[in-house]
Amino acid sequence: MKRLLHILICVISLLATACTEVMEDFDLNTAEAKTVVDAVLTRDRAYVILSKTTSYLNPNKVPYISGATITIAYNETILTLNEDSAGYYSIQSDFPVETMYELRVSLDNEVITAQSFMPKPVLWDSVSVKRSVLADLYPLPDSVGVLYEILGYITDTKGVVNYYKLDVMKFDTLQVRDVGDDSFFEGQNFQLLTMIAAYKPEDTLWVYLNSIDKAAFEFYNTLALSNSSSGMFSAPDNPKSNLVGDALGRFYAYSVDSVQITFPKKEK
Amino acid sequence: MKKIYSVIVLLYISLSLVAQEFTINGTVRDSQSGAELVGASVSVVGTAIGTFTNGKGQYSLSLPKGSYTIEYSYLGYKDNSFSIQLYDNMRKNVRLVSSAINIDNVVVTSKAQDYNISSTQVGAQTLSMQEIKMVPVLFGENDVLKTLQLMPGVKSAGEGGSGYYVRGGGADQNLILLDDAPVYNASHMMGMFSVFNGDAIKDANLYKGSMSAEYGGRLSSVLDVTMQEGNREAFHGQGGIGTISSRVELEGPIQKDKSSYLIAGRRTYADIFLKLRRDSSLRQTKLHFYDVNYKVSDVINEKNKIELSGYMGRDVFKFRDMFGMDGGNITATLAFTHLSSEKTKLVSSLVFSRFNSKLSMDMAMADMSLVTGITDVNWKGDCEYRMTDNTLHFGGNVTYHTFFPGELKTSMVEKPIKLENKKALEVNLYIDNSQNIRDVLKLQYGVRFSNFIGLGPSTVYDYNDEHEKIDSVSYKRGECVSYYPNVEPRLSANFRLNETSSVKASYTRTCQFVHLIQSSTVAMPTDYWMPSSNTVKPQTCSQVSVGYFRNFNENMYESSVEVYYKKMNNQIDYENGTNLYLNVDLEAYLLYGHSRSYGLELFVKKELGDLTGWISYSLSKSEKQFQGINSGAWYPVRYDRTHDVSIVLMYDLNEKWKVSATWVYSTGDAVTYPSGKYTIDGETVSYYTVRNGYRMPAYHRMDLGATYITSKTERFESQLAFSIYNVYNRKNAYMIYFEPVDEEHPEVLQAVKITLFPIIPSVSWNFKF
Repeated sequence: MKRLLHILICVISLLATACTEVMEDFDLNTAEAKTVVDAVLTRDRAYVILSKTTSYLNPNKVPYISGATITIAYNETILTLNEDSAGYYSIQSDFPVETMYELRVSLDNEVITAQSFMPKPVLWDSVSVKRSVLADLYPLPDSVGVLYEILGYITDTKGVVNYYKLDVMKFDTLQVRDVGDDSFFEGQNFQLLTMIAAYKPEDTLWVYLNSIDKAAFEFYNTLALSNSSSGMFSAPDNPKSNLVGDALGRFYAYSVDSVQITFPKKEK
Repeated sequence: MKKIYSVIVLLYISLSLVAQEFTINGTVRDSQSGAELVGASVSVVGTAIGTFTNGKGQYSLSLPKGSYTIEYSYLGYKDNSFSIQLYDNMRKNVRLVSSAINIDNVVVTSKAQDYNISSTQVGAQTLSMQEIKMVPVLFGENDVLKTLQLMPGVKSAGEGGSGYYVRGGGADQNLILLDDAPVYNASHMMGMFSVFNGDAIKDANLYKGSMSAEYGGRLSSVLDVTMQEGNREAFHGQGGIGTISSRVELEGPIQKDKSSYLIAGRRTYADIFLKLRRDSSLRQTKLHFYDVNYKVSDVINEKNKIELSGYMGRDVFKFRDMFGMDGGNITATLAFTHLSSEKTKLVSSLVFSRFNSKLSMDMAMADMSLVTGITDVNWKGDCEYRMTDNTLHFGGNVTYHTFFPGELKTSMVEKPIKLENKKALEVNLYIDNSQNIRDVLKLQYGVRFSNFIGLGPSTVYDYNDEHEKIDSVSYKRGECVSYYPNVEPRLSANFRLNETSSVKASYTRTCQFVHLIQSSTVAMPTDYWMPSSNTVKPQTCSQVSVGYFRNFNENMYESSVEVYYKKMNNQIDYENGTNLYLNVDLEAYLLYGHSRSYGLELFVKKELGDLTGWISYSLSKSEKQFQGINSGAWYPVRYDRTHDVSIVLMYDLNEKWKVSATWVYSTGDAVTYPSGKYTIDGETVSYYTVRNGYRMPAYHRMDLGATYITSKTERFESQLAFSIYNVYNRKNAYMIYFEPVDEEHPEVLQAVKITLFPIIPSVSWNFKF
């Protein structure tokens, strides 16, 4: 709904003869640097990137934080992550689903903790790709490609509140990220993925359906709003974090189902 | 409670002051059109006794038995006087003759010349259609709401928009009435134009400080717009063809001197030009609005009058068959006026108002439609009792609200998603007295008893801190779900210092039971209203205003200095990330807080002469406080513009040409920008420290207008109206975003501003006959 609203506003803004101009003398304050925790746990590994915030307009190199002690605890297991490079900590393991994980980051003078639950994965029923009816209405140059519709269907698990995170990657580039819950389609078949985009022959997509917990949903839901600029919408705010301690970021565990799509070669 | 007793005691004293007197009353009309003249002066020669005609052109004076000369005067009309022998109650209707051949060459105001200093109103603004039509505006579309934005204490909701904020209140805290019918969305095209067609409007009164107890239901202001009555003498019409719209208005007698009709319509036609484009998508695009106003009135006899008036307007936007927005208002007012005695007037009105909107999408891969709205059915009864030094108003109204918070139909899910409709009853009683004490002190005091009753069927949920439902209670149809009684005392006083100056003060308490849920600062079709509930408490406001008013050069210039302080409670905001649409648990995500606003307003207006206009300046501060936002500290609201200046000049060059100019300046909006950034999942995330801690660049703009009378006879007149919006092409920032300076250094960002309207000339041809 928010996305649709944005599209409509953009269309009307275009009709309103909007134009842009770089503001040469614009500057922003830089807040005191704060610790940032980017912690992720999947079925087979966990990693944490520790860093500090930087200036918004003119950042220096990202200051990564070395020397932290980081553990992941679940059931009765406690694992300590290794620092592979400055600020990057990871470990490989077989992490079970339907499990609560606890992260603990110990720095010189502070401890940051967080909990995240890895749900059982909801699987794609199907993901379909077809040439869009708009492709003929809006023919694009070969260098851009042809418009395709990509639709993904799931069957929501009944009796459980599910939270989803969709990631569509074109090669290594994130094309679409969206999060949602099942409040509109609890226990029903649902068209979860609806997108239209231009692809060239032999482009490859990965469509990820991540099952996440409520805290992760709230983080990504508020993250989308936090990057909006001043305009007609309500004031942006920091995304909701599940970290306990004086830090920004989040810790989230997820299970995933993915589908790979390769677009056909051009017919000769 | 003591306050209520005090008011009742005062009312009792007022009534007891009535001595053995007789009443002269009647109606003052224009001699040509038969239209009632509002605010005409009726005075007793040789005494300080006098009054003004009310909104229906009626007056009433109570005098002891004797001989008097009564003088009737109205700006732009020749004075008229009559000698009378008063030994019984009597009725005297008067017709005043226009003092100028060309009525447009004089400023016709709907108030007395010294109204500025003689009325008890603090923070009130009256606009005549003559003023509104002279002020240059975007695309040349004369607009009541955009002209109001040039008044002190009234701030625009955004570039080119018709939304407005009054003394720190939100846009949804302004009650907008069109012939007593509430207009829930007073704008077209996402706020670019107002719903008020100037051809159908008689005048507009804005109350931003003190207001009569008759008004209520919104915290910040009342904009009372009155539709014009049709000419009872002869058939007339007017209209125009403009850059983006055309309009026509027709009026005339149904039965001469007894009943009349008026109908006015307009339509924009951007989409008609789109049909000339080659692109088939644009050819199939619909983008327009239309609206129709009508009024039928019948003077049944000297004591009874009936009127039916209404409005219907729609916005239509459709891009091929893929996207669509469709929405608008319908209002209707049936009013019956009865003069039951020489002193007593009764008005009973039945009012209907509906706003609904539909947002739709239909593409091969998905389809959906979202419908929201609100419907009111209202009955209002008002009694006015006039005495020598007192005018007593009392009455009540009952409003039945039906809220449609949203229904989504889509093939993506098996059944439509619909939020429960909400129903509520508002029952209000009020009593209000205007008292004149020795021509030095004027008081207006009253109280409004407002009652809100939420009605079933409804299911009410309790939530825990995690927004999870923990309990529910179901109510049957008609059962009381919630009940909020409120007492709203009103008091204003005018202490006349001398012939040319006065000091006024007021205290006003208001209460609001309906709340607008909106995601942006402009009017969107997805905005919807929700009622107070067990969780959502009514919003309340207390405001104190004090002002010094001074007129110069025999009322040629009027001026005022006002200060005010306003505190609002039970204000609503949303938790970060709250889904506002079709969210059955929305109430669990609402935040409740306070807001306050205080400021100084200066106003100087030149009313008479070839050169007229005004200068207004506001110095103000408006803040909010919510637990959960900005660490609980006060923060400025977005439209907290410290300095706000408007200069409006209108000049009659000669019989053919009139020119006008406006210049506006305001401090930039308070906005939230990041003070740092970091990376999560490869994505750059903004880091915010303070809510609305930055300022947009200051806004300023000049507009010019000119009117050239191309043809003028006794029966027909036409003119060309030119306007240039943003004449020095100021690139005011509408929005600021950040983008990489270059591809090689994506982490280094620069600010980019979006500007909406460059210099925009427009021309329209107007006629009347």
